[in-house]
Amino acid sequence: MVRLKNRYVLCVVRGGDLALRALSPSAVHKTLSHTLQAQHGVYGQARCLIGMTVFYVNMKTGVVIVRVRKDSLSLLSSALPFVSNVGYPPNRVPCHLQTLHVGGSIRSCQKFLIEYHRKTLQSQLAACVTNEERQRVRAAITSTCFSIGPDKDVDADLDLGSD
Amino acid sequence: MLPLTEFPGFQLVCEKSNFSHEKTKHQEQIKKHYFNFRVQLFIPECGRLPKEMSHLLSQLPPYYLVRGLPLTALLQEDFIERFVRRGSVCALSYDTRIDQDDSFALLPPGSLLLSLQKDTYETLGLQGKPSVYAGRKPLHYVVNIDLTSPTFKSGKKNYERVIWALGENLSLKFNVLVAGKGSRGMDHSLAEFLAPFGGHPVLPEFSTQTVLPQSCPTLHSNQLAGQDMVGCGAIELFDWLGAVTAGISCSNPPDGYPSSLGCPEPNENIQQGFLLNLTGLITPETVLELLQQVRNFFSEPKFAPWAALTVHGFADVPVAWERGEHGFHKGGENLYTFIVFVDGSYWLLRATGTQDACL
Amino acid sequence: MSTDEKTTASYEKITYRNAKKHFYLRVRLELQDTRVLNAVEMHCLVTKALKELHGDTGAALLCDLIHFDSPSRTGILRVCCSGLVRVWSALTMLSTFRGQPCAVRILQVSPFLLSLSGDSRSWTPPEPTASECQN
Repeated sequence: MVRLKNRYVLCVVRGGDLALRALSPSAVHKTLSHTLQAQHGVYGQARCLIGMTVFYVNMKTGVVIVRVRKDSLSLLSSALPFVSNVGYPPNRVPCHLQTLHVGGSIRSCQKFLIEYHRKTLQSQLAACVTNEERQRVRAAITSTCFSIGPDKDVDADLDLGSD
Repeated sequence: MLPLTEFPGFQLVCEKSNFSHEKTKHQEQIKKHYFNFRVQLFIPECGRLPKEMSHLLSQLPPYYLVRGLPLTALLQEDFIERFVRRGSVCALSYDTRIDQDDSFALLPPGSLLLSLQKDTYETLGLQGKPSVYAGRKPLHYVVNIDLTSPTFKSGKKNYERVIWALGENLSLKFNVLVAGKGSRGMDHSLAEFLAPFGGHPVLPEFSTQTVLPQSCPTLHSNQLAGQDMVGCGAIELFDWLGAVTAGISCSNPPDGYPSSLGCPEPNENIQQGFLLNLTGLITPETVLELLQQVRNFFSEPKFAPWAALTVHGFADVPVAWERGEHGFHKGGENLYTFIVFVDGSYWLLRATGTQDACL
Repeated sequence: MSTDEKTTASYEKITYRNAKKHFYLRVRLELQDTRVLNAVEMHCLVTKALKELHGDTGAALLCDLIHFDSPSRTGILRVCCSGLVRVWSALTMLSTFRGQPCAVRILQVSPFLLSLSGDSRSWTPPEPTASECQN
């Protein structure tokens, strides 16, 4: 039995609040499909779209996870830097994508995401001036993190920051 | 790696030697390549055909063209005795594509090679082998019949079986090109033999043209691989020769719009060049004679530093070089070029496609 | 002795396997329009075909039209080895030229430019003339 191997591309949409608001799985899929056609033509697009799904989009942090077949990963990863906007025509918003991680399973992507948030937390908190802002950052981080371990781990980190 | 970036394999074998070298193999190499389709001769700094060569060209032996020749005609004992056993005849089916149709070749050593599709092979009833390029599920088979074997004569079981299979069973017919070698008398008797089947003699066509002034790579006979700033290597020269014979000018500026083809460095300008094309079924003996004429051409001082004799083989032959099986794959190319230098040394460049053996 | 050394040292053999950078394609454009095409238009057509099927990465391939014969609309293309499949497929899939149906026939493909001048598949042996038939 031949097993189909997939790759999970974890990337972040950079482009301010407007871009985040326009995010949805179908909007990201459409954007990627357009970019693929421009970069790799009809053949590259069709080849890459087989088995490609945008299965996680976070409107608050802009984190997007896309699943592709292993053999068409190079097509997608070479097209990602050329993404220039997201959303449907009336309210298309300029943005760009930053690829953070390519993993072989969803689990590895989640692990990476937690580690990534943990690392960026300090710099984000340092940028906060009022306590209210800190609370907002804390809420945002909590909503992004998957609870794969005991919850208190994440809470302990956040408490450390809010003190 | 994406499969999009793959390409069919090929091979270019370059040899450097001297005609006076005791182990020189130029005659063997020419004789091993049986079915030659076109001979091209290029001489730089030469305006017209040398006199001896025009004499040779006017006396070329004809080859014969037979349409719908039953294969059993070539198996008659009379034919085998008179022509095949003397190793003086070669025949090839034409208008047959080796990767799609059935085809055959009669090699001068006296073996009949049938290259057959699976359906034909299975109804034929003769033993053969799957083609070496066919992979795990062969759709292509090769049957080899040795006509010179002492047991291959009327009354023997093997002979009767072959006659039955190719005659009564399938009655294979081909459009055939036949060439004989040897004396004039032999040619005459071959023509007589083929006449009842509708065979008629055809003379090889030849055309000459003068090449316009252009840049030409500088060669040094002792540097086969080439050296920067000194001389071009064989591989660059091979492409440049292709450009000249196709009538492509290499003197475009390197940033030219539709094309960026340039002459290999270092190069020198030539005032003119001479190109001869000879087309037909040309026997290795004719090629040898031509090569001898090219060598004689350099016996007197000439402006030309070298001359190139290119021989193209038929793309659809079961065998290109001696016994190695030949397939078409993407191009089926099998050709060789002699670069003859003034000092008696030569380069032999042999090029093959994916499905061929060239040692 | 010295001449002996010279002759024995003079033999040299080099085998190049897949060592060339380019492939050559002989192509013919079939078009109903009888207008005369030039090389630049043909090159544009090839680039357009590449862009359609393989996008910007395809159009960026080095693909030279090194020879074009306007009356017969036959040309020779030179592509880098890794782009052979892409150029071939793009030309096969091409179907329109300025709104008109068209087709590109790939006549011959070879890594050696020299072998394009000896195409035995497109050669037909000469027919016998009337006088020869009578004989």
